[in-house]
Amino acid sequence: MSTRSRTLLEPGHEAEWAELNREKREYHERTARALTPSERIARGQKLSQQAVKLLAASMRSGHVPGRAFWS
Amino acid sequence: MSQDEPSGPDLDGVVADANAVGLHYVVIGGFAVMANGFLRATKDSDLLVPDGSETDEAILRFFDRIEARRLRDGKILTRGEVAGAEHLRVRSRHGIIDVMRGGLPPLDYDTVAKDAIDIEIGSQRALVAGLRSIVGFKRLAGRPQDRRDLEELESFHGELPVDPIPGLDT
Repeated sequence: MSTRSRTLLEPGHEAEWAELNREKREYHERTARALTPSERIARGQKLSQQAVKLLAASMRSGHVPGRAFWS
Repeated sequence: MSQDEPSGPDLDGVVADANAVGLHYVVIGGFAVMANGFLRATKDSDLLVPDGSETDEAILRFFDRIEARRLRDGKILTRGEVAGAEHLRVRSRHGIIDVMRGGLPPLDYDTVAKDAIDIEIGSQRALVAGLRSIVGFKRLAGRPQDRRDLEELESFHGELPVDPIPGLDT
């Protein structure tokens, strides 16, 4: 049985979020340093493709107007 | 692909595997901002999940399927570590994933899921946080990136919907 008794999604957890953000930032800095230029490009392209697909799906569903692509 | 290979976030894979194991979730974070009209970079996938033992079991199946290990120490998480955790951060074959339990209304799971947009990601259906919920999460977090997200979303959508957040506005 789940015993969760609190959430971080409320005011008052700034210190915990700061630590979580630091952890993630340091991890990404470490991994980014290990990437070759071609790996960085490939990663950026993959993310861009995902972003455009996601926005296009949202537009097709009528949640975002088409001008989002040009804003 | 090895989970140690820094491949970046793969939302299609996250959605496909979360759906495959029956995990209920809403995509929040950077990908949700993109789905609401502001294209920007993100380094991970963020999921909001409900409370409860059924969710705990689904999270365990999900983590097993995506070869998840806790980011900070590489540990494979146990049932006891998943149950009761308000936040879980793992690295996986789909990149870094943050799994969060809902907060107090309006940032609880039910409210966020009700406001979410239902769209196709890859070949799968997924709930993605709607504008009203994103505004709430961003106002609560208040980091420079969050403020920038709100500015960009406001420039696109006009005046943003704002729900009072207990402890922040009241």
